[in-house]
Amino acid sequence: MKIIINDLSMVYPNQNRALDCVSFEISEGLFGLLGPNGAGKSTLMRILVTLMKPTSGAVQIDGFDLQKNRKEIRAMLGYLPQDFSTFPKIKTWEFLDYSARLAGISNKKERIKRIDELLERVGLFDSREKLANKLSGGMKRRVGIAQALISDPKILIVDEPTTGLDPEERIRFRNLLTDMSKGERIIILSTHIVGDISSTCQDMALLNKGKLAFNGAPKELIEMAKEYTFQLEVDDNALQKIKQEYIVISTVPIASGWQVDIVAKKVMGFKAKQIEPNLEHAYVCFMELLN
Amino acid sequence: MTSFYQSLKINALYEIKILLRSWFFKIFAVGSILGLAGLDVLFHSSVSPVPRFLHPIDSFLPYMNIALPQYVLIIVLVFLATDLYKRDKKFNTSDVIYIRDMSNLSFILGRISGVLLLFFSLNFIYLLVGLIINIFFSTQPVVWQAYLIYPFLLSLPAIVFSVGLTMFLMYVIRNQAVVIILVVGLLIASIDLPYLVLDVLAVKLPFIYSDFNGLSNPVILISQRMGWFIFGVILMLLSILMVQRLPQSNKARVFIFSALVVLPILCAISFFNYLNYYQTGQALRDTISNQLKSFSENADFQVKSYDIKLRHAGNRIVVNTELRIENRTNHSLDSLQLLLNPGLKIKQVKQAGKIVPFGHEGLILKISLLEKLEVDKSILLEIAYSGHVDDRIAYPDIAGEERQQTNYIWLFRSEPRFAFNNPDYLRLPPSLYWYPKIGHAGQRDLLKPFSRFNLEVETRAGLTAVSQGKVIVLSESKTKFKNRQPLKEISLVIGSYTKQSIWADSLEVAVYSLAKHDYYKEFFKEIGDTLPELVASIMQDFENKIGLDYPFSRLSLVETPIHLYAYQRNGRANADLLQPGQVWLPENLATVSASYFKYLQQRRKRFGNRGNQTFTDLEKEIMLFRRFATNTFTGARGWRFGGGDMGSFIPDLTIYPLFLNFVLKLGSAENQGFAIALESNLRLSASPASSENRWALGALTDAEEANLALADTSLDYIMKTADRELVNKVLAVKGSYLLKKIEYALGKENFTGFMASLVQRHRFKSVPIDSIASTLKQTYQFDLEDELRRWQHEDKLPGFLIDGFKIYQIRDGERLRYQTLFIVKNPTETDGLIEVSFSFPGEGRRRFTEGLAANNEKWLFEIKAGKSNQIGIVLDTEPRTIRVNTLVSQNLPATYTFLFDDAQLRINKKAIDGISEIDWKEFDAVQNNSIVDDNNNEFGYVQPQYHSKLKEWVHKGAQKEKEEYAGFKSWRIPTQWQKIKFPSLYGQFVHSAYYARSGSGERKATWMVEIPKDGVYQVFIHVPDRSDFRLRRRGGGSFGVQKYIIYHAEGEDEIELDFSEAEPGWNYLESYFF
Repeated sequence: MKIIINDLSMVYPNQNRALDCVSFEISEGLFGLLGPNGAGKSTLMRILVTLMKPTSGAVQIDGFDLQKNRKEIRAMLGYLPQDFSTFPKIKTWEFLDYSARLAGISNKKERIKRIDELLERVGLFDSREKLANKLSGGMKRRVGIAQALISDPKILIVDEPTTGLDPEERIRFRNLLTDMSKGERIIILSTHIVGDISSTCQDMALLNKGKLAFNGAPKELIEMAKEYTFQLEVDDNALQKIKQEYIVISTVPIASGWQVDIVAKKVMGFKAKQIEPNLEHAYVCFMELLN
Repeated sequence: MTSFYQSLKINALYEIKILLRSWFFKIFAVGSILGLAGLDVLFHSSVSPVPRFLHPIDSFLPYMNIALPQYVLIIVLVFLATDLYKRDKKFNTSDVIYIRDMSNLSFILGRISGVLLLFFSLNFIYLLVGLIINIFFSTQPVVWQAYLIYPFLLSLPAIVFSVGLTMFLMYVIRNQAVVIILVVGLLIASIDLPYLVLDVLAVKLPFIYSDFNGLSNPVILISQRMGWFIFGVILMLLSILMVQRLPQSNKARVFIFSALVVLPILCAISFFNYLNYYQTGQALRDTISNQLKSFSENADFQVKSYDIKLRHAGNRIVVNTELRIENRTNHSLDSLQLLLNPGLKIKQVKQAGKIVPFGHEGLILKISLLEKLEVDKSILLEIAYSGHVDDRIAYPDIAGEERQQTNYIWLFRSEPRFAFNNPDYLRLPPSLYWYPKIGHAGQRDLLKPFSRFNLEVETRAGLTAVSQGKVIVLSESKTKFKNRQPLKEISLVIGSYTKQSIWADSLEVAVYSLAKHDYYKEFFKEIGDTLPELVASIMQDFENKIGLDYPFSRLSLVETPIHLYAYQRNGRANADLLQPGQVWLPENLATVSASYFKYLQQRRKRFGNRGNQTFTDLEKEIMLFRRFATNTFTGARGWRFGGGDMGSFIPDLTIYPLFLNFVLKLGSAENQGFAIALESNLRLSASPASSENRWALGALTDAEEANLALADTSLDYIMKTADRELVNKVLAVKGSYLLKKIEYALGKENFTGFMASLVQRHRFKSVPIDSIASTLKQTYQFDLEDELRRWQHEDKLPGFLIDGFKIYQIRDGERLRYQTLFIVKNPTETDGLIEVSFSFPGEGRRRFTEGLAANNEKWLFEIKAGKSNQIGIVLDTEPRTIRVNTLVSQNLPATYTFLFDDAQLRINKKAIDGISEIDWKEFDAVQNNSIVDDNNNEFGYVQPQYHSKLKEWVHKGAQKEKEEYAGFKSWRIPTQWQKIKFPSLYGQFVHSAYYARSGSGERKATWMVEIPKDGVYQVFIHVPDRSDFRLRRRGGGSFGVQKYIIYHAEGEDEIELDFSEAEPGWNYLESYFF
């Protein structure tokens, strides 16, 4: 199964070009969609989940055209939007039940089994009778993923799922997604948090200002940043100078002053050593230096 | 994968679940259910203490249970429907639902259906509550059809449209508050628009369901409801197109677009059908009005006899009529004009077996005779026709708002209908021209000619036909009505009636009603054998009261559907409800106050046991029955429920017209004065003696209103120009006056004899006015023609000055008698009549007992123009008050009442009985005075101007009442000057004044007095008698202190006069140089 995005553009009525001739393919597994705020990630997501019609271009999902075969595509989808919350006065299990029924699980027993299973999986079984909108942010997000998964969708699209979550919740969420990605399923994870992708995705795309900046495995992105990632140990005065001249990724205080990670094509006037970049280094290098 | 139906159901159920958890909904639902249950028990259970007025029709229970909560239900519904949209906006949860596999149609429709279903099912809970009370706790039968009709026809369209409109506006305006205000405002504001076409909530739509024939006009009503239902669906579909979700199903879109093409057409057809019915009805009435304008009231031929064969065929009647027509004119006729309902189509017209040409346009049927009809010859015409009697043509002169009003009993509405032509029920009054007639419905009864009628009716077995004449049953489905005496008109009613009858002396009194309408039986268990005698005595009393005998051999009381209505016509209230020998009663006596037996019994228990009298059950029943019969049919004053606020149609079923209107033909269209006088006088003598209404103390009586109108215009002019109501008032006063003049001229005994013989001798015959006039002239030297001329054309009124009331005892042989005296002056140029009556101690409480006053003797005196008279009347018992009625005069108040002191014996005085002319100058002794009265131009007043808009608006309601001579209400003194009249107020003939609430001095009145020459003048103020105003010392307002500023030669002076302390009459203030 594949999602083929071809020359996709989206121009809003206010002439904001959110997507500009974007083309790439997404295969089964966990796919990361990375980019700064306003890069067009959410627009792309909303187009993919049939909430929005692109201005031009086409999307094929498992051979179905996104515009012509909404019914078939919707039947394959699971979606967790960025700010998910539920209606008031609905219990957790009731909301999932509604989602399950809409997803076509008409058999009551099957539905209950599925809901319980999912609640167990997202760790909310004990909260099943609680009103969904009274749950904490992380728990709500988990209800969201549960409803997205309720129909065991072939395509699961999650938009910024870890934003605002505490580290523990974030890790739990990542693991959950990794678990889900096993089998014939496409999971698209849109995020601006690099860590989410580095630890989970086999494949990714990088969007910037509506354009596709990179498409490939995270490893490839890291590989591209290898010769541009440096570490320096400097005192206070030098740090100020470095901040002015280079793209600083991290500064860590040490006994002699500061240990600074930077990306640069070349370091002049400072003693620097090349280091092994991670995805974060690669992302910054790619966005700020190479792009 | 979900199917259309599945996703619709899922969304609906989900919506219901959410709504059920809303506190707003829960409170409303529980509150409305409990409230209704309470009202059901209160109004409809067998323990109900409320008058039958609120539950006289069996279908009122389901009607109330749907209609009453409807208004609140719609508001709650609109609020929650807007919430539905708002919820989607607020929580982007909808995104995760939008991406599910379902069409927009099934999604939105599903959610709307949830809302609809929930609110609609509330209706069924309301009905269930009602049904339980109906079945287990009430004696009222269950009207199952009504339980179906009200939710689907009354409520469903309102709910569907309200939701549709709300959703649509939410998608357009997107502001909850604005949409709620807009929708609720629209729904309420549109109720009163023409023909109730915009009455979505069915607040005024006629939904009363009759046991006779269901809804008053089902097809038309359904059209309106259908229109709104479809409109609601259209708005819902438009909302679906506007939803912010990419469409999924092409099929659904094709369906929506096709529906949006078809539904508006259906919607337009529905509304067109509805409006067209009323508009074509109005057009038809306009045509008929025009036709009748040129239609001569004096047909130049007579229909000697009718032989009508009528077959009741479902919604149609098939009729064959033979008319024997006679030419009574002095010229031959080659064509005839008759009137026939435009809904009836003529098959053929035959003259002596040969077909003749005819034209039937609107109401007029024109027949061209084959051979001329010569003078004094007669021909036989045979007219065959069939069709549906169109009752929209009734009362063609009633149009506009009055025509469009529906009748109401509390919150229940009914459309005024005048005829029914249904398979199960038929009701044809002669005013609907169901047989060819020569007289029109607007014609005065007494002018209508007589014919002989024979009617043969065929209907389906099980139905009973009721008409005039002797009933001969020909077969199970055929009945013949044979009339021995000629009649003016006949009517026909067919329904599933049961007949019960009794013989009261030689009069058969029959009641035709639906078998199940027998609620009254439980109140009359003992009365059985006594009934004939009781009815006979009531009839006898009434005959004595009006001085005429009942002319028919039977009196049929026929129950008719609640939708039945009759406007006033020619002085007859609810004209069509009385037919020769018949009274048409409202269904289950719904609007007859005196039939609320249970309530009356309870009232009697509460108020009636003052005299410590104990009555047997039979006596109680007799009292109850007598009260019912006299209040309803013989015009006795009785307790009336509702006083207009609770019901718009309280029929006047007083049967006096049966004694006169259908019995004589009197005069002609050109000469109908005497007929009018007779009718009006009879109405007056049949109605209860008028007493002052304590709610309208000082307000104009009908007679005074008539006098004001007659002050400078003639009766003739008023009849041509004034509105119906005023014309009737004027006619009543003038009619009675004319007869009083004849009575005065003939003397009381001669007059009574003359009147009785006039009616009795000419019963069912035509009497020319000439013959009456010549009898009066020859026997009594009374010139009726001259009197009639003046009666009709005189445009001046006499005015009387009345004073000098005295009473003393005199010795008349062995007896002590009471001499009463007073003086009357008529300073005008017109002769006038006054009528004197007395009241005696103990009469004040008479209204609690039944029967006639012990002494209602009246004396008439003529006061010639410019003459002063002393009037003396000697009585055997001591009167308490004397009442002088100035009849038709300029006097205001028209009646003077004087309370006598105890009579002292004056030994040497001789009895003064009668009228004698005196020289009475006192009233002229005012040459040296200048008097400014409120009726002079020199009097003026300042009405306060409100500076604040709000204040102005608040006072607008109060100002509405500011008509001249509105009643004096001590508990609600107006904020603006208002005119009133009381005997003790100053004036020559018109004893009036302005009054207003005391204030800070902004309300001023000014008197500008013309000073003939410089000098010192005394200033007087006239103070009325506070006893006139019935002001009590404690509470209820007082006259207070009046402040006067007098502008004189040396400046101005302020003087206060305490009206509460001042003596009635002229009060001296001060002397000034002017």
